[in-house]
Amino acid sequence: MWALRLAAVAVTGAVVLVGCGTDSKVDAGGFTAGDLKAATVALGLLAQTSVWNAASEVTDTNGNLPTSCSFHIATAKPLMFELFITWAPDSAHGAAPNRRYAWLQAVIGPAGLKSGYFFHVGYTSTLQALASHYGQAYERPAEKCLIEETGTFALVPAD
Amino acid sequence: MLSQSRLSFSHWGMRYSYDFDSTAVMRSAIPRVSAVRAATLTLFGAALVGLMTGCGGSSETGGISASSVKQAYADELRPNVVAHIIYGIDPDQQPESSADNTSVLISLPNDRYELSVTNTGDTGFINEFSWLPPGGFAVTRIVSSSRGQCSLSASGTWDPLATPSASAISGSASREIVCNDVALAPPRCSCRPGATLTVDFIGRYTATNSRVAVAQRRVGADGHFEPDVVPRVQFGFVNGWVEIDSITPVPYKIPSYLGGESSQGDLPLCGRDQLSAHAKACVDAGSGG
Repeated sequence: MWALRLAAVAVTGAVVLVGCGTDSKVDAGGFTAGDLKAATVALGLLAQTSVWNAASEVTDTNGNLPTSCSFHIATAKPLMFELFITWAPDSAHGAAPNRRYAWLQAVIGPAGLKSGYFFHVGYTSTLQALASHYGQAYERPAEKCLIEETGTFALVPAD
Repeated sequence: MLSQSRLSFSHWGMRYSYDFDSTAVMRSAIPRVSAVRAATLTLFGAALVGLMTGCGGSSETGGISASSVKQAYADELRPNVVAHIIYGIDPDQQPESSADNTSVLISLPNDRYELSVTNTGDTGFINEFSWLPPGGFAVTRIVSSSRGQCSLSASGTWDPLATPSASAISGSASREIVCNDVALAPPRCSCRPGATLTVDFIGRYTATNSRVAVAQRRVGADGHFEPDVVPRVQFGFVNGWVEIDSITPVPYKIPSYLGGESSQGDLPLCGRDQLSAHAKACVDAGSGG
């Protein structure tokens, strides 16, 4: 039963991820309406993993909000999304002492949590070292995202 | 569908979380045949809804409205406001931390020491960490480690028991123990410890037993250390700590109670450079298991 329910979630996510993203009209972040729908599903899948726990714990222990949260379309076919969140040890805005720069990267595709995903949390002492991990995380198409206290992630498109 | 609720609170600077799985009750109450039928209907219904609403561009905003964006900002996770550490203040006001690991240092004969680090977090595999020695402690050689590769850092951190001046910071480097590729598995339940790594090494400790403890704190854009003089009695090892450098989150929630483990927790670890696949599912440990 548990496995069936899990399969239902995974397959539903896969169906939506595969079936969407073909609209032509794009918003300021470069997402189509179909992309936004698929992105919401993908973020819902990530919220069922410890990726949200990691985001929550880094936020709480660093003591301030993330400096950025980007949800980027890594590839269009197959539709792969990349969640990229960064934190800075900004003590002027609430960060605790002895904290470092941190980043969280989560890549998820049409197979959802069955295969092809990649999760990573890293810490580093310098902004330069952090920047070396950005890759294409901020390139269009990309939307701003938020970590929600309800245990989920939310997309907040520019328009 | 999967249904998880989470209750979090902090106490004494530690964050506690409890996951509730509301489907666990349903699993035991619904007969098997009905459960299969319900799951099948759920699957097709959800897939149909996904196809009908998710494609075709019927909505210009993809189901995200101005009001939902406003609500998202209202629900944004915001850390508690904390005070910078001032000795003597209520620990609840101090910066929060999470119980990602525990470490124990054991003194052995002939200047040998054993460091044990255990993954106690609810996030995932610890792949890399650094151990910053306590003040007055000089690590001279790594003897062995139970997993991964452990070595001494090239440049080192500042020895907090040296004279607190700018010149002393650069002249009293105490090298860290850096461990890579350790793949320390998380616990199946955050109520239990996860995997443990031990590092045996040779070191030299100069006890100060003073009435002034000199801690260190990381500051500045380059993350350098500055002294933090604390008026309290210090005997023995004080102020060494573990810094986690890399974690691979697991693709499921780690529960806080026994019996709530995800079935994915039973999957084997992926090998080096191996990705989970439909035919051979595995859990990515980040560094080859």
